[in-house]
Amino acid sequence: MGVLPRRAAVTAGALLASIVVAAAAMRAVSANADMAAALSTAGAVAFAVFAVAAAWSLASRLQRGEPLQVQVAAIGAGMAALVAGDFVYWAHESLLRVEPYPSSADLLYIASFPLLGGGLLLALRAFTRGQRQTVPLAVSAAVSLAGTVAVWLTVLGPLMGDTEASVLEKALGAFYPLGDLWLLLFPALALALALVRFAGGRLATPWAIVSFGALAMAATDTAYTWLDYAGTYVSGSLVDVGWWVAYAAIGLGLVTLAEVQGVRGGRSRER
Amino acid sequence: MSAEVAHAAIAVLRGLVGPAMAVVYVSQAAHALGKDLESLEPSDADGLCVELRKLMSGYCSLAMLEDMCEDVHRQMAAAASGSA
Repeated sequence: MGVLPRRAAVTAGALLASIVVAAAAMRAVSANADMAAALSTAGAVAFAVFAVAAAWSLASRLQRGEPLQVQVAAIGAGMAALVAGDFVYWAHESLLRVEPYPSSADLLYIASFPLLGGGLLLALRAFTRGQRQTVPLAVSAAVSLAGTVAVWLTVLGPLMGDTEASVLEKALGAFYPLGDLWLLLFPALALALALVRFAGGRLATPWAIVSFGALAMAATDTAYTWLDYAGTYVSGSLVDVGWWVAYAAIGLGLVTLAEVQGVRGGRSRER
Repeated sequence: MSAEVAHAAIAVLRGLVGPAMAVVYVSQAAHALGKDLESLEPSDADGLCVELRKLMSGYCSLAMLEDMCEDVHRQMAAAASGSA
């Protein structure tokens, strides 16, 4: 077995090719803002649905209530909340023709943070059982704190002082970047650092990929926060590829997890 | 008993959790049994597996833990017979 089991390696290749082709297509139609935005959203939904399907497939093959199933189900539910949020957002914007922010879509987006972060924290706790993990936690907290200061100085501080913004807009405007930093980046980075001690073992690989996906999601969300506040974000721009990569990586991590745990097909065990 | 029995258990875990954590886990499990690595015997395999399950059940499927314990039993016994 290489870095990835065979089926996971094939899946990785297919995902990478899909991202490259879709990004090239999005760039080719960039002159048409509506088409580029639609392609961006379609790509994000497709990769997120892939992650949900991978989580569902794996969780349904594990025994009810076993710790691994809870972690996978939490991450799958978090990705499902993102997909549902995108659908509700789209419905508000395109069908109901009303302002989609803030809206009920935000409830689903907000729910995705504790679900994804909770799954990552449960995995972190599992991998650190019986071990002192001061360094991963301290480093992750320091990075998240530095990010919080940067976001506060550039976006949140001015937003909180904006007399035209409603309380709800201020609350949501604060929750999203802080959720990215403390409910995604913090557990994902701590897990990734804790997994270093497991290098060379195949059980760490899937969670390293999932952690990478969560880190990519937090980074893209934060980039979006800055660009949106500066008024320079355009849906369909290349920054959106960050979300594709994030969702695809989370799905790939779960496919890899099924492979290394030997639950592929429900019965077979790769040895 | 030489350390070969412990090394057999470590070898089973190496592919799963990497060489560093394999040593840590088997050492911790042996310690919980009141033993050190050099004094592990094939008859300790059951107790060793109980301790390893405690450490690894959070991120290992139950099916994989069963397989691992079968391997630990088999490899420890093989190491003991080989070194006898």
